[in-house]
Amino acid sequence: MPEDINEILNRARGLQNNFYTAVKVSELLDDFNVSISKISKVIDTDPELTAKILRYCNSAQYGFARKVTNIKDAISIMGFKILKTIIFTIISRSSFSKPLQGYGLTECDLWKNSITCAVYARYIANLVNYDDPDQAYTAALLRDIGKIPLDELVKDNHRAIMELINRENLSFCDAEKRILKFNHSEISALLTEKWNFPQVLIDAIKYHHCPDKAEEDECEDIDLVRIVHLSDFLTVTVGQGIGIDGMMYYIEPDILDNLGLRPDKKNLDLIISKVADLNSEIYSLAG
Amino acid sequence: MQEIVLKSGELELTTRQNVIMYTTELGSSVAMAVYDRKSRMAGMAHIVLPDSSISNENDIIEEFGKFADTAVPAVLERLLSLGSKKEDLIIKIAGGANMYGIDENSYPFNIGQRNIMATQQAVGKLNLEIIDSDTGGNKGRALKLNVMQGMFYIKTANQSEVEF
Repeated sequence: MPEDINEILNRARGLQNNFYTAVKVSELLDDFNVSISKISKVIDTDPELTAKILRYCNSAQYGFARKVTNIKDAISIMGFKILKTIIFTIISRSSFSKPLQGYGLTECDLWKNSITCAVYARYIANLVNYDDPDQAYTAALLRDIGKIPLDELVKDNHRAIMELINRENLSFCDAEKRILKFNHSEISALLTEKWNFPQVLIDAIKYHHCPDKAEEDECEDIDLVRIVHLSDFLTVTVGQGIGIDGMMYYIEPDILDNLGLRPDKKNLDLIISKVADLNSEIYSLAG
Repeated sequence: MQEIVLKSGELELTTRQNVIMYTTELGSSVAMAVYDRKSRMAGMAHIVLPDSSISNENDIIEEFGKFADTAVPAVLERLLSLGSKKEDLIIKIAGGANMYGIDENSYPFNIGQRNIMATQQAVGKLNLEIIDSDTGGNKGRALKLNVMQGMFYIKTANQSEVEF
């Protein structure tokens, strides 16, 4: 028992292939000097992705006045940042749909949970005037990607994990770490590290269940960690794609205060009410 | 058999029998299901929050199903107005889970607890009784009502549904 970390990451090879174009485009998009034609050339090599991007651009959600028929137009209309989130959304949708028996997630549960958290994170980021809501969206979307390669191990050690949780009141990810030596947030972070994601995004993924540890480890962008942490809480609160880990996580007691939000009951209920209203947008994205 | 799926904030009533009503997953949300054992009418609400006073006046009509204090009377009073007798109504609730370390005093994050209490209060206000509850804890679950059989079921992750 526990396997080498590389063995676990190797299990994610299929995932890495799925995300190859997304990561490649993402790297290009981070370079401010890149030309639109260079990006569209990379995307055009993947006809399925191209078709899906155009479908997104022409959906009611974006509501552009004229029909977008090619990637170059799509980029110039939407801009680099939105394009990046759309590509990750498309790839996540096809990669997160399989059931994960270890985590008790049926078909599409991980996808529903991830897209919900992503949309909520963008809402919270705007609410607290965070300067890069799309970064929050991507971090929240990919925060649980590590559950995919870790699923078999969780399944094999399900009883030990649950016993430890019951015995010591540990959160699910702390119990995962004790039994498996790694938890799903760390595996998610390692995967995105391999993809050369910005460190702030990797941190937000790694510490999304424990912003206090992010503070101890002096992470550069604690606000992003907290936005994903709060969004994760809101996602399970309204019940989108909950597995066996359910609500077995701790919420930072001062999370609202720390994000500059009024920390009272009325304000939290208002936030929950507003994010619940986003569910129709989410169902249209979740398909 | 017609399936009616209730998403967050939705409520539904049926006078037809070949219907299965069920909620999407409940985290801290609470589902109330009601079945009239005589007329076999049924209703369900997927409640997200305890109290409608936070809602904007213009939105309240659309948001009726979201809050315990509006959703519960909307379902139960409608059944009564359609001829149901109070003694024939079987009311069950489920959901209201909380995050770890959150208990009834942990304001404001004890949403699950607050939803359960508000639902109980709203039912009590109509002089009705909740027959059975599967609430609290840290697990997600969904509530189902098979109107044809008059049977309630709970489904939790990785477990087959159980009669409730």
